[in-house]
Amino acid sequence: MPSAFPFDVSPFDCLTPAEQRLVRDGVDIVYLPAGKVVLDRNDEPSHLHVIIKGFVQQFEGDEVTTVFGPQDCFDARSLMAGAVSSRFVTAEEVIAYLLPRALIGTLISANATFGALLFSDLSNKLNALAQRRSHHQLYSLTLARVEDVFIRPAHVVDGWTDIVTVARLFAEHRTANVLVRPAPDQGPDLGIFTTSDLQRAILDGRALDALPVGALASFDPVSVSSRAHLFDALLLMVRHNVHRLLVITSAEEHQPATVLGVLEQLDLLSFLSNHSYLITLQISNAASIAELGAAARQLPRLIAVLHSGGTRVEHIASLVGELNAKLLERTWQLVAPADLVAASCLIVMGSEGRGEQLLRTDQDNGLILRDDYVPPADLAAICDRFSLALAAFGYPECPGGIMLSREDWRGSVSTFRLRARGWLHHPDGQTLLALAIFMDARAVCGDAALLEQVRDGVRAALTDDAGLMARFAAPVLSFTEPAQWWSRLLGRESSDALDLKKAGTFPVVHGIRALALQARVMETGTLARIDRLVEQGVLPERLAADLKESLHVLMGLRLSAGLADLELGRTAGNQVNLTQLTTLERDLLKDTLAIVRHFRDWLTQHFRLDALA
Amino acid sequence: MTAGWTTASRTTAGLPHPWRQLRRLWLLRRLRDPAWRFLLDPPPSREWVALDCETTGLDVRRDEIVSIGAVRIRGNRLLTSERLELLVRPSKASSPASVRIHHLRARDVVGGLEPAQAARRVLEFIGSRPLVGYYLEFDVAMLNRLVLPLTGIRLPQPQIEVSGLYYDLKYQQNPDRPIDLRFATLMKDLDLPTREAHRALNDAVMAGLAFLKLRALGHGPPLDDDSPSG
Repeated sequence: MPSAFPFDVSPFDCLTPAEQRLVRDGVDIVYLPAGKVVLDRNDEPSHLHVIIKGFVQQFEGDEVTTVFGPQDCFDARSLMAGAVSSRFVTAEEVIAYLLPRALIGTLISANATFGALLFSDLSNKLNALAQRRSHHQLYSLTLARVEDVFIRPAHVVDGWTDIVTVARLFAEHRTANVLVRPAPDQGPDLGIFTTSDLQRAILDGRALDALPVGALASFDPVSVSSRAHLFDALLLMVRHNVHRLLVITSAEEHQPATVLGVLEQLDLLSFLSNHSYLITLQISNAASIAELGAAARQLPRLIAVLHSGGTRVEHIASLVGELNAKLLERTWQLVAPADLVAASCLIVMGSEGRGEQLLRTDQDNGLILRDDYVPPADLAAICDRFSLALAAFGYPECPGGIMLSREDWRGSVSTFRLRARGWLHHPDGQTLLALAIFMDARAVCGDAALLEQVRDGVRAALTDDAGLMARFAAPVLSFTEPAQWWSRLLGRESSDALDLKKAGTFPVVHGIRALALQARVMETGTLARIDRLVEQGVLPERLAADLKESLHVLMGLRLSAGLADLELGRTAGNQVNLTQLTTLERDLLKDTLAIVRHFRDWLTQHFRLDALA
Repeated sequence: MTAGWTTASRTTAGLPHPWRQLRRLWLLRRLRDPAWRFLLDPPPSREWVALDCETTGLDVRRDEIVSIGAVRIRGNRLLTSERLELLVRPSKASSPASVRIHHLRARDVVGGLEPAQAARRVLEFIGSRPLVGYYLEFDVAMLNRLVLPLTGIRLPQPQIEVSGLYYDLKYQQNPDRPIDLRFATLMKDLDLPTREAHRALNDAVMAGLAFLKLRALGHGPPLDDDSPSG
């Protein structure tokens, strides 16, 4: 059975064959009945346990803090310290591998990655993870296919079309090439004529309005199947010294290949360097809501590609934030008359406003109008159209009604300032929620100064009322993580899903928001707020660093789970299936939830939340 | 605990003390070489050896051993770090049916030990520790063909038959139900992890695990106060 040691599982998956042999030669197996104390406080640990079967609970006092399951190892920390700091008890019969302390020491000194994965605190663990992801990145690029890239639509003209008409077509469609239907004596293949061929046309000497494009087009364009790998397409371009390829359907039996469009080298290279560029292009060029919809639908795929490519989740979030803002901006421009756009400020709120939205969820938006502006009579109808358009793009309407199509969330600067004062002076569940959401507001279109004016109003109305701050902060305690989510791991009959938003993201985001409100920090992003709070000496630096990492872990896990949901054709939710996490992910989640718990306790102290009840 | 966990014919465990003493003296006299006396020493407490052999066939008189796997058990631990894995060069090839089971072809065992050499290594590894195994009678009989000419006696260690312990457990649970003693059934029923069967060491480890669990369930050598496992 030593041959069955889990070398494919973190941290052992980074061992060299020689190091694996050391493990195989040094490993013992232990049988532990249920309810047995494996390690107790102040024991001197002699082995690292790697569970084959069963579960072990770690107790601090009477509270279970962690559960270890198959392929998990414990307790690296006490092995390092030379003394056990908590109690480990088998929750059910356990069979585990035992690796002697000396052997672990040898492995750590021989293999830095192993040591990092085994012992590191959260941020070190993440770095080790990122390092291993780096070779994934190349991999995903070689796996991308031509059809994943933006293929420019083909404009086909007849061979007898004159050059002037073709040049006009270039200008009209902002394209650099047309496909040319061959004359009957030229064989069946399409030709291609590009802007660089115009030069030859002029030098040809014949009158341009009489010169047929067929005479100058090249009739042997290189084509590539839409299913081909991107790298092959790039190779074709290099080999034939061309800048564009004809993209054709992959030849199915008896089906003649049809032309799908043109793959430009520029597009290919920008796909490889930055896939988002093309979506940006598509959004800003969109002339109708339908075209915008096509661009919007590409976002989840872009996110999936970036995520599988190993891009850091906070980079994805900021990129997606920008793209979403662009999309909303363009939608608003298409829906609203120009004077309304100029005299108002379209804002997004909640996670969208903080720039922490990954896969799109509810619309949280509002509209601030200039005080002296008289809105068109059909303002309500315009706003409705906007909300409907977003719904069609896949942003469901906000169940709480935080949308500009509701009167509560549109109005003049003075109206909003009045409302904000109301939130602060009559705090209750509804008004505090409104305040929390508005704190995250970000301008995406129109006059951003209008938002600043409202914000100044909020700042002016703020007092140092400790009771208000405590009531504002209190919800961090309301979604306490289900008392023992690990018990679901044990009693596998119940749901294995954990709501990451409730258990993790919300307490962190809202806790930071409450601190930001108290300290009058006006940044909207949680990370930016954390930085400011550290600068002001409100948050301890260590806790701040842990919170940032935790947020990234939670976002990453939510993203993975959400993408998996989308792949299965479901709506992306906040639930993560615990049994489907890798051991490393489960480990990170455990550490993260411990940090969230710690932060919640810290907030309870800070805001004296215990005095509220 | 019942008498089922040892096979009475080859053990002294069930005998009254003077008889055990007498048997030991008798065996000592038959030893070819006093160097083998350690086989008859009192065993270290709470230690056992789980054992399995793969053979060229199932005929105890004619077939030969091709591989031996053994692992020491101390308390509740299987000391896989102190294991014995031997390939033995038989004088004739395995039957095709056996090769299908243990996957050891003639060319795989050609580099193996001489049978007598293998027997020496096994005896040194076991010492006087009681043996644990599944259908241990067969493995012991196969080994005795090598051990007897070498030492002058058969394997003298007490033998603990895992299927016997399991039978006791099932009989206690329900005397009326037929009991399936097949190894795979036994492992599954005990909810123990299994590894590829018919590799001598894997089989020994699995038998060892079954022994530890059955012992925890109250069948087999009594649980004295086991030291902390960590």
